[in-house]
Amino acid sequence: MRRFPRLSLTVIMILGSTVLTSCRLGFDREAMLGRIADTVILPAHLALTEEARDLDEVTRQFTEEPNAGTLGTLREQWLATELAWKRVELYEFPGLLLIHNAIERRPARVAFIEEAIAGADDSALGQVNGEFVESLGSTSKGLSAIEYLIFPAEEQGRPVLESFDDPARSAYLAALTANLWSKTQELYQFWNSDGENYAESFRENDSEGADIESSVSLLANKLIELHEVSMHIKLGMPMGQTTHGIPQPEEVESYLSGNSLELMTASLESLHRTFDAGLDDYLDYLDRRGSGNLLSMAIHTQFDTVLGALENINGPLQDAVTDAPAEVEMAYDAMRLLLVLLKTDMSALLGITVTFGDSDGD
Amino acid sequence: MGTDHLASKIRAGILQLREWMSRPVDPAPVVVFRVGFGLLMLGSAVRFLSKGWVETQYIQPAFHFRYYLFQWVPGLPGDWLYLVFATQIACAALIAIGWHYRAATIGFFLSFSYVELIDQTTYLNHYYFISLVAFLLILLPLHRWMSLDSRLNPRMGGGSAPRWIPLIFQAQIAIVYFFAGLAKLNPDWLFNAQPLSIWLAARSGFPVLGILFDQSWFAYLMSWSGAAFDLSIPFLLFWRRSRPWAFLGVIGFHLLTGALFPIGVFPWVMIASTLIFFDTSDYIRMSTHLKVLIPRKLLEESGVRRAPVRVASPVPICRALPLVLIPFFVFQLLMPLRHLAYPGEVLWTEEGYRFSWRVMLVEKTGTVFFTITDPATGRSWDEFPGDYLTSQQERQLAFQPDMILGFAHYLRDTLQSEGVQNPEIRVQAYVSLNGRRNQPLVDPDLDLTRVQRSLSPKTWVLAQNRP
Repeated sequence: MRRFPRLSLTVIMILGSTVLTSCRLGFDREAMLGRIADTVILPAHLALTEEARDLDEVTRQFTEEPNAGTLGTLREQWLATELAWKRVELYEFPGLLLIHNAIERRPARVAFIEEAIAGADDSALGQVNGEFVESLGSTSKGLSAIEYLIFPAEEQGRPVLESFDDPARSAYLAALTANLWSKTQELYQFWNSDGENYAESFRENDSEGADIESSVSLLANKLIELHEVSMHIKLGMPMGQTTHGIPQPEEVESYLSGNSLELMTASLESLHRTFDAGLDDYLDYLDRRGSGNLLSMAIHTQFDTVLGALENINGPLQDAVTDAPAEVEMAYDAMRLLLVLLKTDMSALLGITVTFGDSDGD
Repeated sequence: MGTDHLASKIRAGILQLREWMSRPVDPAPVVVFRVGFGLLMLGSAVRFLSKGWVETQYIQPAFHFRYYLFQWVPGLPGDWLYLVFATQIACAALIAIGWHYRAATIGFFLSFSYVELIDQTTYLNHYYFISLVAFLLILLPLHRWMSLDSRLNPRMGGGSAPRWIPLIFQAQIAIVYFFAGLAKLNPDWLFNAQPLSIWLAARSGFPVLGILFDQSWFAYLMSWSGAAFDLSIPFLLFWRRSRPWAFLGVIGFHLLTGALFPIGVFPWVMIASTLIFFDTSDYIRMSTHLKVLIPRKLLEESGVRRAPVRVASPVPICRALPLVLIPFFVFQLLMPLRHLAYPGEVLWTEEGYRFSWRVMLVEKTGTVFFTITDPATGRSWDEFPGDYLTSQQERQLAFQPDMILGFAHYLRDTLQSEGVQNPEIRVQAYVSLNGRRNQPLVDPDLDLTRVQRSLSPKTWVLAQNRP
């Protein structure tokens, strides 16, 4: 009986010291997630709203005074917005699919867009506004629909400038950019502390057991998924991976603008930046019992290799897949190796496969 | 003279064993087992339906990975699978109340096993366990006690049960734990504390205990105690004096793993199953200690509170029963050891991995590319499994050689139907086992359309080089 208090005191001391050493030794995932949110995710979303605002502005200048000069500015600003979007695209967390699709969903459905423009006759022009765009399906709006309206499609023999003689077309374009700007603001507010403050939930959503999908797991899986899409859909399909090896140049991501390589590069840089903002440190921590060749170093190197290989491709991707297949192949192979490092090795160390599931395991 | 002596001793031993096996015991634990199994299976099937998994795991996939020797298992069109699950649910309920028991056990065994045979992707050890138990239920008349059948047919029921009936289920459960423990005696588990190190570190946000999950000594402690638990628990449950503590251990162990890992109803199935190790006096003691948990009336009805039973009422059993049961258990003793007939590390090659109680032994991830060459055009391209399979199928495919081969053959057939007459299919599979860097799993130069599916060692699976 007398020994009991002393025993429990010992237990408390042991537990207490364990807690202290654990806190010191453990990796602070919350801090890492906070750093990723503050230094990468939030600034990228803010930058997107600014580019979208500018796009809306130059669109107004263009519709008021359509000429080669304003069209050139509009195209440049569209590209800047698209590149800003590529830095945001990765963070499609649960509940964000619809708004992401409203900003960009490819390919644009040309028939729907033309139908919408044809449907808006002169009497109803005033109704072609943000609200009208809101009611449209995602393949008729956003960055891909804007691209369709402002870049040349030579095979249809439709000079871009003349096509905007149609006031309905101008109104539609203006409504699209207005809607895009408001969507990017909405998305920023979703993350921002003034708004729904998802950045906070992102930081706090840690793995606790069997049921909860942690932010680390979500983020890593998004990273893998988007890289796989880049490699398989954006590069592989034009190369002919889904068509028995016969190249399909028109399958590139941004055929009309001819900027597919720039977009892919921006997307990969964004993955790399996210990885660099903290996931790499976490991997180093988990890798501490490993052989000494840090996985994070291998991944960093491979990111550089892929970016170098993309830079090495000359001309628009749609031409390169047939004219310079060797360079494209080299980029594809580098992307495959990067996929292996992310999907096999990074997943293994993070232990995310058992949490990321839609079924039971044993 | 010495051999004579030995022979007679053995004979006496066998007689003694036979006498012990047919000794009458109270049937309460057997009843608890039947009712518990029926209810859990009912709940499990309802849960499966409510999660929408019939759709995502069985209806959506365009292609299913059939087991070797079971390629003949037919698929069901459209929503017919829901009927199979309805059968499971109805049969599980009938087993619990003990009504039309024989038909219900047969119906449950067939409908449950059918679903499991559809796709290797969904293989889980505890599903295999459920199929085995369901098979035993068909053979053994567990509806003789406290069932609607025995109510309706007074000639059938009551009295005590022979010792061997609970013993058979105890043996089945002992096999599961013991082989699961044996499988843990591998270098990764014991000397690297893998895969637990990875899994625990990923869950260090777990309440209270989580602070320990990052510590390597804790992963070692959990690994070693897990192995010791699995190896010893059948014996500790069997021995009366250690039984209550062993059962507490069972509860603690399964609840913890259930809280940490997505293993569904498995913890509850094991906790309920191990109740078969108790005898009625344990139940009475427990009900006195816990006051209300087990209704006294239930026990009384089962005959416990009447005079202690001395004779087992004859349970009419087909004389051929041993002819089924003995091979059944011999099979189960050999099956988990079949990996010894294959070269290489079973955790890597997965030859002899399934149906062997290898539970929670690996953290495996993989990336796999199927490169096609069409000799007619000279063109070469990658086919993506994700274009054909669900993400769950794709994940399993990436590190299981027999699934890789099965998918290569499916791709061959698909491509042929698309006009590629003689596709050559080569595979680059990069797999990580228990946190190691990726290594190629299969020979990347071999055309897998030339490889036949069989049980012989897969020479095209590359050896694992352990760092």
